[in-house]
Amino acid sequence: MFFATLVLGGSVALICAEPPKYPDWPTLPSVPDKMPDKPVRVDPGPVSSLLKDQLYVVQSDSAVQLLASPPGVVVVTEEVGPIRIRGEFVDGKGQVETRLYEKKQVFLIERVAQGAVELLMVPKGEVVRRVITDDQNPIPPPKPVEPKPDEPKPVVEKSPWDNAPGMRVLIVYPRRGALPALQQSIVTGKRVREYLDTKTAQEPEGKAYWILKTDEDVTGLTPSWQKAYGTLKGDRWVVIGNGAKWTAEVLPADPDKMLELLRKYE
Amino acid sequence: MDTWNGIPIIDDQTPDSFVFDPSYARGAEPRDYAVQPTEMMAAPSEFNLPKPEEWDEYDRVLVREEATLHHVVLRAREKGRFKDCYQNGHPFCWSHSTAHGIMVAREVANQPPVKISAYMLACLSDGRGYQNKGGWSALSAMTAETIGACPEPMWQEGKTSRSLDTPAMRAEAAKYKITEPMVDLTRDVYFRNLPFEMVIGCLLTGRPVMVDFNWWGHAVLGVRAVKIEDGSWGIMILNSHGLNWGDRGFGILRGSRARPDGAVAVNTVQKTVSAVASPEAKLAA
Repeated sequence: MFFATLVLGGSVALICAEPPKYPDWPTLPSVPDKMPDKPVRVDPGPVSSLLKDQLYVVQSDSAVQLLASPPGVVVVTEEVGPIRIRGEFVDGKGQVETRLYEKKQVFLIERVAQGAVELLMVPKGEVVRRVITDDQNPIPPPKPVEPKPDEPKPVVEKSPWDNAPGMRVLIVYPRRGALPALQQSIVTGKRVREYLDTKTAQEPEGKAYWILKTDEDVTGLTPSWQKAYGTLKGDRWVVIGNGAKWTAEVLPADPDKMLELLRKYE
Repeated sequence: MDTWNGIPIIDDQTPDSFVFDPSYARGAEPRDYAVQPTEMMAAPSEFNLPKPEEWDEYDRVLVREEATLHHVVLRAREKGRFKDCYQNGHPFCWSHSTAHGIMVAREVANQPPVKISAYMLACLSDGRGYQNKGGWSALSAMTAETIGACPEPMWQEGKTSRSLDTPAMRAEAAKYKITEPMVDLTRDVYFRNLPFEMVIGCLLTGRPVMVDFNWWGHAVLGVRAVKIEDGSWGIMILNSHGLNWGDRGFGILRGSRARPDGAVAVNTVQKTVSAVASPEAKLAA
């Protein structure tokens, strides 16, 4: 368990334990840490204060859930990396700068109110906890990890292709947006396309996969594909079925993860 | 002549004997804004495209994953899913660029392969094809948006007969429309250097772009943003002069010669299952 305290807008006390030595452990800002049994007050400085308009950025290559408790003190925004971010960073020099965060999952934490808040990070079943507070408020108790509220959920219980044999895949991506380069490589890259050409079922009109954009008119497609298109609400997702099982979920971050997902439904 | 990975680079130093080879027809004319005002196009600001500081990262990943539209076309050709349109002496480059654009967009979506008739697009665009006249890509793109684009079995390459314009042909053409409002990358409310940046942004996100060049009197399809060297970007084009032109029909425009006077991106095309038993579909199956 990883536990720490950061004071906002005043003096700072940091409490933390050494994080486990995972190769893809989430990367946190380089803020001075102190052991929990020896809380020490240190002078305020640009590193240790999360001021309004500053960014506290966490990045990870493994799947991580990040929750802030209690709500209302900070806003957490999740982005897909690699991503360039311009702003003033909590561990920066007090100036606006541009940084490249190269890991696959990037969380931006911004303070919107005074007070203490705890960040809960859950990578691969292990809990990482960071507490951000000030010396005017007690450290809040940890809250149980809850599912992300904005995770798209399937709106149908049954495969859109029923029990039709063979693999079928639908990829949907933003009509007017730009996918990150790695996700763009799922759409137009060689590896995923060759996999789909090889593994998907043969339908009268060709191999059984479509790569569509959001908000398209799909009334010209067969009913099962229209049904698949209506399965999820979001701007990038994938629907896969093989007659025995199916899934509808957010588009993976890169071709490797996409192929890993596809192979589960061969 | 300079090359990049064997593909000819066209810039200010390129000999006119190559650029203006009289054995290849062109036919682009400056856009007539009386026929097609700027207000007829969607604003590029509605699209979220990569910024110049992001281009290097896109290029690195897309090249590694063979994910540019250039790669898409090469793979489709190998599988018999993409048959290049050939101008063959007619001044219809401006409709061939659009026909190629629709075909590339269909290939990205894995729609059944068809060869779009550039001659149909030319003929039904203000009647210019019937008169063997030049034009600009946005004009043929507008035809593809309003009427559609007929596959070749119903309007063959080289044909400009009015008798081909039948209700059956129009019904079929309606299945191959450009459906997304077109992106006019040259609206004059934007900076002069913006069109090039918008073209690069579209290409990095898998959107084919028809580009017109007044200096060349020619229109072609942009298929790839090429990082020729650090800080130097060019537009890889698919020409309509057959596979013997350039490198298998591809060339790269650089510097001032890469600045289009007209540019229209194909964002989405009609999603239909092909009703025409085209040779390409049979071959691919």
